[in-house]
Amino acid sequence: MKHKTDDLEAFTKTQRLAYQCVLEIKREIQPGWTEKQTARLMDVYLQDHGVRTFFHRSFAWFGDRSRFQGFKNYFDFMPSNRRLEPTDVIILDTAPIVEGYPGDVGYAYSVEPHEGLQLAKRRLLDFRKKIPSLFSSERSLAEIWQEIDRELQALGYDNIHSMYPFSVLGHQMHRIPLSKLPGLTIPFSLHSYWMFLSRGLFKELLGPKTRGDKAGLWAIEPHIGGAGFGAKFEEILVVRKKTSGEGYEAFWMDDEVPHLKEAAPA
Amino acid sequence: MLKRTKIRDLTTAWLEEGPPNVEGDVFLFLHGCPDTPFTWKHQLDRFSTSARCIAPFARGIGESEGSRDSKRYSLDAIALDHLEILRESGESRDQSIIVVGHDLGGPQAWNIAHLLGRRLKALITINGPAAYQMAHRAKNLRQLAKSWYAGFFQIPVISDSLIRWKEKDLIRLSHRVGEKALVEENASIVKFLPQYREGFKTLVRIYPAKPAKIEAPVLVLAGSRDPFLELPKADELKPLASQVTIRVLEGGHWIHESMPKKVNQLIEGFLGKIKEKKDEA
Repeated sequence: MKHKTDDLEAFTKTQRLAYQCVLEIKREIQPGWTEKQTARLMDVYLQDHGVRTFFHRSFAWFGDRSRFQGFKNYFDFMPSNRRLEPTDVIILDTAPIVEGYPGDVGYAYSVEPHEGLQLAKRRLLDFRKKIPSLFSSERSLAEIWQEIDRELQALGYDNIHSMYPFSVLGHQMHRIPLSKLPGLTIPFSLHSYWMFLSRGLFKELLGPKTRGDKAGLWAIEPHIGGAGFGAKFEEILVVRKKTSGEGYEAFWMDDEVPHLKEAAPA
Repeated sequence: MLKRTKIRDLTTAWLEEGPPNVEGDVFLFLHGCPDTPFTWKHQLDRFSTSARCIAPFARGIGESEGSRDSKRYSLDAIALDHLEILRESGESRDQSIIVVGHDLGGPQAWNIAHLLGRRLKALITINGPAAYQMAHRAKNLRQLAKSWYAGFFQIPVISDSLIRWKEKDLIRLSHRVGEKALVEENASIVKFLPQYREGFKTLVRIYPAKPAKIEAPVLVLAGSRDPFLELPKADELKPLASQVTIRVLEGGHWIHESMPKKVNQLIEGFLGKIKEKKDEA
């Protein structure tokens, strides 16, 4: 699928707003906040910026819940009454829709310095560097998933995104028509279900067995687990067929993302 | 000094007094309805001699721009506004915050107190119950009779029109029966309607939920002749905070205006005790 330049600008605008929200919460969060409270404030922040519908509502996971410890069913993913401890790793994940263009971002950090998290974030940045080349290679979607899985396990991490519904490392993003129509969001919206189902669910999701066209906008979300914590990022990767017609080119839609900026030398 | 900034696209104003210190405590004064931050005149005069005092204008009041989007009046959106005002005023994250709320500023104060976490030094409410308290007074007929108007405000269009028609008279009436001492020409009720409506939604949402306890000391001041609120009870405050002190004064709804010396003394004494305990520890 082709995405026009102005489409990409609109997707970038949404992604930046979502990251702005995450950074605002990062500035204010205090030990004692609950996951529910944090996720609600993220939603409020986005609504104050004119967001009326969500691809999915905001998620916040603290401590060992950031690596989905003990998660058994769909409802365990929902923000809980777990309170933030100063030493906890925090993962924030939110997905607003702005003027029909969805964004989906994820970010991990901690209030107090956390060595394990810092190392995991460096590893995630290595993956970020590598992922475009995997997409532009001849590998299939399933092979990309499996290669990331192998590598992160070789580094000693658990593959946490394999615990997501359909084990997705990522999913396609499209403009959502009629996004202004209200819809239930529990926590994914009817708009997002429609977006996936109307296009054939499985080829929209980057799972361990996905076969299909790589071209499109992919919200990529590698989520790795260390001892007692998880770490992830999520942002849009643009994959399109080369103009020559053979092979693909892939690049991150926007480099103005906090996990990249904070790693840059001062 | 009047200050203003854009917060999430809306001009937001507040009064700021006191030394621009980056180490001492910061007072955050939250006013109610129908009122403005000038209700805190006596407290700003007294406490700004030693601490920075910030008193925001409620959304839609004074130079704080209103919004057509009712969600901007929710307790959480208001809390985000206040956090940003604190940041804009140069407060550092190491400073302790003392939150003081009156009337509708009460639920706002309780809400932001939860978000401030360890930065909260103390919470002081003056005839300003927490949303949870009000939700649990839903079966209290005396309270329902006293706050009937809040129910009337839930009726859109009709309440807006009727209040607009007689707004000045209604403001004067509420100030008279509530024993307001300072003259306030710029108060409004209509501009608070979205806050009452969003507040009601909050009550419905939180009613069955068990609130988190505030660990910082809480001082609850109430006027014995308050025509709008029942007196606070230790039982209803127990689930909300670990250390609560209740003081009832012989006064109306605006005791911080009608008996400012007494109220300021109580606040000073309360903060003094916190300091003593801290020094002992």
